[in-house]
Amino acid sequence: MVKKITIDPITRLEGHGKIEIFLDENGNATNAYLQVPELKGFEQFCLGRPVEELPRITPRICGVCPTTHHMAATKAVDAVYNVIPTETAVKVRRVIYDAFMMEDHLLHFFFLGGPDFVVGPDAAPGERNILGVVGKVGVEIGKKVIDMRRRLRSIITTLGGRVIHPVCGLPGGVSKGITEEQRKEFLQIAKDSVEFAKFTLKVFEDIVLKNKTYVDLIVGDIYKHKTYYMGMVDENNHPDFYDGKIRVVDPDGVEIAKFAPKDYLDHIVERVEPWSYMKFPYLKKVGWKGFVDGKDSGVYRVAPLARLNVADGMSTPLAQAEFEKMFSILGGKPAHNTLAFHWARLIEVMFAAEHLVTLLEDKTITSTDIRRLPTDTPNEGVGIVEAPRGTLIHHYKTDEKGMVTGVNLIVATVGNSAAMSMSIAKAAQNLIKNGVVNDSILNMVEMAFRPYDPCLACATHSLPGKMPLMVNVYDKDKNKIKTITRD
Amino acid sequence: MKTLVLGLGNTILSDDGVGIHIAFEIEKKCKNIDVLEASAAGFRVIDEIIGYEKLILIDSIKTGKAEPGELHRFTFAEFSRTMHHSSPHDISLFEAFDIMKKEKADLPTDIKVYAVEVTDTSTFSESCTDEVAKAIPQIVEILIEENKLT
Repeated sequence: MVKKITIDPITRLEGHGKIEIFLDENGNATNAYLQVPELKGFEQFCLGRPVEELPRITPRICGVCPTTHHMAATKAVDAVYNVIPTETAVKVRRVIYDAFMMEDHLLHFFFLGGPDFVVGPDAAPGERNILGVVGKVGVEIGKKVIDMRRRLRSIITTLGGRVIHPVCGLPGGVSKGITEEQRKEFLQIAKDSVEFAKFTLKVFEDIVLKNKTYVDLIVGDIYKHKTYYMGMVDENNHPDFYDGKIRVVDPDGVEIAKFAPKDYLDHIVERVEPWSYMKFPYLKKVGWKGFVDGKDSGVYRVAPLARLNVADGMSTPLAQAEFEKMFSILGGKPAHNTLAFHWARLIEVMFAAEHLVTLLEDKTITSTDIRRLPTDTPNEGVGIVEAPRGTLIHHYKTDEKGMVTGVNLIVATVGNSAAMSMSIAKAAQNLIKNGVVNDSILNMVEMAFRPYDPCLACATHSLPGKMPLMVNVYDKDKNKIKTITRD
Repeated sequence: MKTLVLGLGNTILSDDGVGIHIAFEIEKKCKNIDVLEASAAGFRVIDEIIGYEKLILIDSIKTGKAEPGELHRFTFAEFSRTMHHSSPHDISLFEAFDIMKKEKADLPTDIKVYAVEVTDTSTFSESCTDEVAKAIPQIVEILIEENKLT
């Protein structure tokens, strides 16, 4: 008898995925897939519009990281117009981007990934939630997290020109510069964020690394996949969130590709599967061998751990020290431990904080030379940034008047789509045996995809806001034989 | 009373943007309010609510039990029952609200939650479907009247 288990966030009306786990006749998990709903016609929607509109439209694709899409789109529009933004404009964009990466990563660690680590996978369902995190770390710390994120977001709002949805990016520059007064204010926030990053890493050390159960989970086989990794690096092969070349390493850490954003199609192929609306990109050079890991499979991973795996080191001192510590504990680079994405995320918080200080200590950032006007005829361009969830690719084509004739996006979560299904399947195979599917096992299965911080679609906000998890178990004829609900 | 009208939704996903369209229509008619749109929720908007005494939240909903364009009214309490993630990458506004309350933030005490029954929230379009679009002017009037917005 084949059973099907569905982990489905039922009250989310649109914009959500579900996990389907298939059991064999003995009740052991055989396979698992992550499915997402369809959003129809984005490319069609963009066609015929002035390409400058895309930095305002594409952030709407995602209710989670509008800043990331705005930045990738702005860079793609720079490329379409063949205009190099002024030095100051690039610095301003980087300030916004560092602040964004930090606030997003902090939200994930404390509140979203938090239930898995901070509270713990074995905690009672009633505690394994956001308030459980606040309960564990304390109200005071909760306050600190909220305050730090609020201050970082104030940088994004001020420079982005608008609350939540930035509108500052223009081809060749930005619409607004930084005043000396703002520079000083933001520098203080940046310095405080370095201290906050230290504190966050200490929380991770105290709660996670000092707990043998957690460490065993991180280094254990359940949450491990030997894949290729992809991330953007600077000229020293250090991670760069905003600009650089895309570096790919194999499961042994050997560089197999390093390419400019415009050449991405020479390296990445997007595979379509009949059962999913999500595409599954893989490395062209290696080829598609199915949902498997190893050197022969072109499946690659993106996001924090991938970025650190492709890097030779970090460009800032405190982040470098944390980078060395992590890889030493995980047994070298690349690290294949999916749960270490959480750890790598915090090292990136430190890097972004230190990098932000450097940017804002530079007084030339207040220059008013914030835009270079485009003079070339628009044509085609690719913009890539490292989103919190991985490499984000925007590719636009226009006619000679700058009207959009083609759009291709590879969003970060899609970069991890094959790996996510593999991670869920592996956890399910290890944890679901003889038909025993209880709540804590499902927590552990969920833990397999949460490190990727998946961002599945756009309509992430329709009411109602409550969301229990429902698990349906089906027999081979797809009759529902069991339902587990958690709320 | 310092009032924020918050439209939630996505203006490029057909009916999903109805809350935002309504919020901006109200802004055209009333002076003594602030209006904000968000294609996000939870911790990504909660900061913007702090400091207001009254919050009017407008979103879309698909209950399938009402006609498209019909207005639903909810109490805030109806949404704050669960503390689990509303998505893998954010928590709901109501959860964020509870946490902020615990952190003693200066949050609105008078909260009205409205949702418009919709049909299509998955096709990329800047316009609502006909029935929903037709209902907007009337809903704007109802919300202004009910909340005595000026």
